[in-house]
Formats: sequence, C-alpha cells, structure tokens
Amino acid sequence: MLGERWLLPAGIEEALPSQARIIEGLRRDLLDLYQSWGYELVMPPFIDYLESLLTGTGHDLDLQTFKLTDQETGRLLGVRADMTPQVARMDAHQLRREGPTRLCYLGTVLHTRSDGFAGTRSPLQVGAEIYGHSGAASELEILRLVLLTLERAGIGNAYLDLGHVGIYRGLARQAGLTPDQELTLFEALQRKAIPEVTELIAAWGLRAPLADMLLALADLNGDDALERAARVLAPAEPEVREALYHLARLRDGLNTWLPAVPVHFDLAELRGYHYKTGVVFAAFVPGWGQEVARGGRYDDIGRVFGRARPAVGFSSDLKGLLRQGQDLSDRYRPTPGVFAPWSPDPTLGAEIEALRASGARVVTELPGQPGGAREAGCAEQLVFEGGRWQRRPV
Amino acid sequence: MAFAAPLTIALSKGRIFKETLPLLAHAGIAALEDPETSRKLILATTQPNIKLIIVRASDVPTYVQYGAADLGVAGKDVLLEHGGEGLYEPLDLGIARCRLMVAGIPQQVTEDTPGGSAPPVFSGAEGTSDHSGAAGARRGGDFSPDQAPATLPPSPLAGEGRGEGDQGLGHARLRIATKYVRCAERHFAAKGQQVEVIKLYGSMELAPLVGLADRIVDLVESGNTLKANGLVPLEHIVDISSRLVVNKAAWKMKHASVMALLTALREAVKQRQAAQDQSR
Repeated sequence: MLGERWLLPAGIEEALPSQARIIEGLRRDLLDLYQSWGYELVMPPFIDYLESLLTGTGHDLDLQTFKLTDQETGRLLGVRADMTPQVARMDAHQLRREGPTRLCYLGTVLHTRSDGFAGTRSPLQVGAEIYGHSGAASELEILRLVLLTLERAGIGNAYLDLGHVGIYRGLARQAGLTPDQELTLFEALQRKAIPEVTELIAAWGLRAPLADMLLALADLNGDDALERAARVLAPAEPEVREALYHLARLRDGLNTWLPAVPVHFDLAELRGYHYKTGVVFAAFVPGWGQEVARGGRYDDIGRVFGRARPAVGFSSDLKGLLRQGQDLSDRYRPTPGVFAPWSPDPTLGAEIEALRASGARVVTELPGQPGGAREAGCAEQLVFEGGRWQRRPV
Repeated sequence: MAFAAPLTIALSKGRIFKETLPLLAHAGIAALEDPETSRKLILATTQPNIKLIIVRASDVPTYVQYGAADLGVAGKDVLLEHGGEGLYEPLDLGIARCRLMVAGIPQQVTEDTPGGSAPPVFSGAEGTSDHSGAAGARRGGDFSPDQAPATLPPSPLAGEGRGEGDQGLGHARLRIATKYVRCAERHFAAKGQQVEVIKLYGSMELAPLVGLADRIVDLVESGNTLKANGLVPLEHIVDISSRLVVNKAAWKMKHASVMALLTALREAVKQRQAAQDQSR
C-alpha cells in the first residue's frame, strides 16, 4: 500500500495544468454566457442536510449521495450529488421573488457510484434554471442555452431528444395502474422491452384502446413520432393530448430558433420521471450511449421548501462535455510569459508590476533555481539594456 | 435493403451466431467469413455498411452500452445479470432458448429439508419491480408438471416451516453456486430465503458433488448435463431467449437504419414462428 499513495479513488480525477486551463477557460466562458442571458450565479453548499438534498428528486439520488453524520446535531448530512434541489431551495425559501428568476450554478458534485461510461464520480456540474414561468417559451430558452453550452464546449453535432412525462402518466392513470404496476411498466418502457411490455399488459388484463396506446409508447419515437402519436393516442384523456400539443408547439419553436439541430421525439424515454412534471429532454452526440446534457420541467420541486413554482432547467457535466467535444487547447492557450531574472533592482520591480498590470504573465526567477525562461514556459525575458529593463526574445 | 448509416452488430460465437444468421439474412445481411474458422474478430458482411464483431456473450451488453457496437444479440440471462441499464431491448429473437433453474442432488435436498412441507412463496406479478418483472409475473403460476422436478418438494423457507429459525451453525443457509449471482440473489430474496451465493465461472454441476454448494443456479437446455451428474432441476426461475439490444444513441441518431434492421428482424422472427407453428 505504501507504494500506492499516489493512487486516486476510482472515478475521482485531478486536473493537471494543461487540463485545468481548459476547464477553467470554459467555466468562465459559460458563466459569462449565462450572465449575458440574465442568469445569476449561485453557489449552493457542498454539504447539506440529507433530507434537503433528497427532496423532490425522490429516491433517485439516495443511493448516489455520500452520507455522514453531523457531529453538531446528529442529523445525517449528504455531499451534494445534484445541485438542482439546492438551487430550488434558494428560489423558494430565500429569494421569494414574484417574477421569473433565472439562476445558474457550476460546481463539483459527488456520486457514490459512477453513473455511466465516463466512470467519473465527481462531475463538474453546470446548469441553469428558470423559476416562475410555465410554458414553451421558458423551455425553449433553456433548450437554446443547452445548445449554446454544447457549442462553447466544442460540440457541434448534438441531437436533441424530447419527451413529456404527462403522456405516460396520463395513460397509466387512465388505465388505473397501481403505483407498483406503473413503475414496473415504466422500467420495461425505459428499455423499450416490447416483449415484456406486451406480457405485462396482457397479465394485467388491460383492454383496447388503453392496451394499444401503452404498447404503442415503446414505438413512438423518431422524427415523425408526434404525427403518429396524434393518431395512435387519439382516444387518450385530454391531459395526454395536451402534452402532445405542447410538444408540437415546442417543435415549432425549435424549428424557428434552432433550425439546424436534429430533434428526435421519444414518448417512452422519461429521465427523472419521479420528479419531472412536463417536458423532458436530453442532448446526445454520435457514438456515445449516454446523454451529454439533460433537463426538463419540474414544477413542484420548491413545494417542500415552502413555495411551489414552475421550474425548468438543464444540467451537464463540464468535464464530460470536454471529453466529447473537439480539443479546445488552441482556444485556451497559455498566455505567453515574460521571464524576469532575480535582482534586487527596484526599477526591475516596477517594470514587473507595470507588465502584470497590463495583463502580461511575468515569472520571476528564484535565487539559485535550476532552469530559466524556457523551463518557465516564457518566450521573452527582461534584460537590462541601455540603462533600462527591456523585453527580449529568449 | 440498404442501410444509410454504418451499423456494427455484436454477436457471440456458437449458438447465438448460428441462430442469428438466418434472421440477419432477412435483412440481406450475410457474414463474409465464418468466425468458427476465421480468427478475425471484425467480420464484413454482404452489406457494405454493416459489420459484425465477435465478442464473449457476457460482454455483448457492455459493447453495446458503450457504443462500441450499435446493436447486439444477448441472452436474457446475460441482460438480467448485467442489469440492462442504458440499453434498449426491443425484440425477443426467440433463439438460443433455455431456462434458468435451481438444481441440486436429490437425496441431499431431502436431507436439507427436515420439516420441509412449506410451499415456496413466489413473488406476485406486482411484487417484482426488478428487470425480470414480466418474467416474475409468469413465474408464479407457471410451474407446469413437465418442468417441475416432481420428485421433490420445493425447499422450505429458511427459518419458517422448520419449527424454529435457529438451525445452528453449518446448516443455517443454503449455499448456491452460480455464474448468475444477481439472478440467484433476487430469486431467493423474492422467496424470502436467505442464502449464500458462491460465484463460479463454469462447471457449476460439480459444486454440489464435491460439497462446495448445496444447489446451483444455471441455464438448463435439455437437462442432460444435470442428469449426467446426478442432479435434478428443482425450481424454474425464468425462461431465457436471446434479445436484440440497441445502443441508445444509435437508436436516436441512426434511427432510419436501426428501424429498417429492426423491422426486417421482427418480420423474420414472425415468419420463423409461423413456420414452426405449422410444422407442429
């Protein structure tokens, strides 16, 4: 073991200078982008009472959250596995504004187990939320922001995948499924396991047209899914048809604002079904089996904090985006540096101050150090010539 | 049939490969080489855009989930054990059929069950919210005489039906040897029975014979291997057949090609089913 002190825990990464520069460059760019859209940055705490963290999101995050006991109160604390509930609490409990509130956040979250291919347990979560508006307009704004985020991260070929939890929820209610049945069928639908869905529907004795509609859900995906759904789901209750209509409106908006982005509808794919209340969406890139960004509408998330408000938002893993996007090392190059020799000369000190103030990167030599300008990544150095300190190429 | 997008299909050698080929033929896909004679792991097909990769059966879900293959053919046993997360499994190909069963030595089972006449508790249709939900629903009533071991009473619940829960050390828990740890744990947990699961990678039938385990959980096709080793099937866990699995991103981004293949395979399965029904 002694020889392995350098070893990092599984799924925990460190960022070396060349990676850290890119991560930080993109982090600043994204926060500037959100700010230019009117999103205010918030910083939720890294650790929180478990019950606040798990609220609204149901048990989805329970297993993913690292837990420890608070020595002050004996209550359970959790390390945030998702910042969304914390941000919802700020809107519901602290800000309590009347109009729409736009918030964004960026920070490390911890997962007990890596959820997926990248294998990370410490994603750098970045996201944006709109509170206080229900309807396609706020959803469209969030979707545009998703695409802009991906673009900044060097991902130009993303696909959007859209669904609506109201469709399955409405059909399950219309069919009179018990909560257990609803969950069982839901899990089979998530895998598009049509043989299982067929068996379940038969075993529960569901009849046409509900049996047909529930079975059709697994097939209602693709570019033309909405047209087919309008026909197949015609006998459904109004809430289901309203959800379809809503998706159609959203598609029209996407055609206007993001005409180049391919949109795929999938009426059975329902990420975060337990706490989402409307549209759900995800962005995919070719050759990667998992979404690179996800989000949707979760109108009731603030209720437990005292105020249910409409809410829509997205989140992503900044480091995950960088893995999928094109190499950004050209965009986030290190600033060229100027090397200053070790000298007690006060005029050198003044020159260094002036250079730094003008934005230059100045590295000062330490007495007796090995290596010089080149090792410090500097292309220029300060040389005493003609009675003053001047920049000269190395 | 032509495929606009390139598709990679992951298959395992042997039975699954042989039985999948006739189905792929319906989509105009034929392998240009035979994996049994070729050492190549990537096989070209008569469709320029379709290639086959040859992987271990238990690795198929991983390849497809990670997008190294767009589609694959995997046994339901492998999917149950893998968890099937992040995959679509839209079609039961109906090939490589067998059953996942509990088996054991006849005498030993009798010795194991001193007070044993308590009926096994099967999970109801709604009871199993796990991935074998549909199978679980079937499991309850479908203990038909020809599958049931008949010779033996099903094992009792641990603690229950024995008069008292404390059986002392050594005999308290059944030891189950299996390759299918998740399935075995889930099966016995649904019965309310606490067992020790021992993970093995092969030759499961040996474990009860040499005292490594009391029972095994394994795939049973004809039952000949069990018989040859003096074991009998005891409980039917789930029927197994191979499924088409699809990578999520491929489903969305190569939708037209994936749908074309899926439709052709669905048609092939239907036709073969009809032919089988007719010949009966």
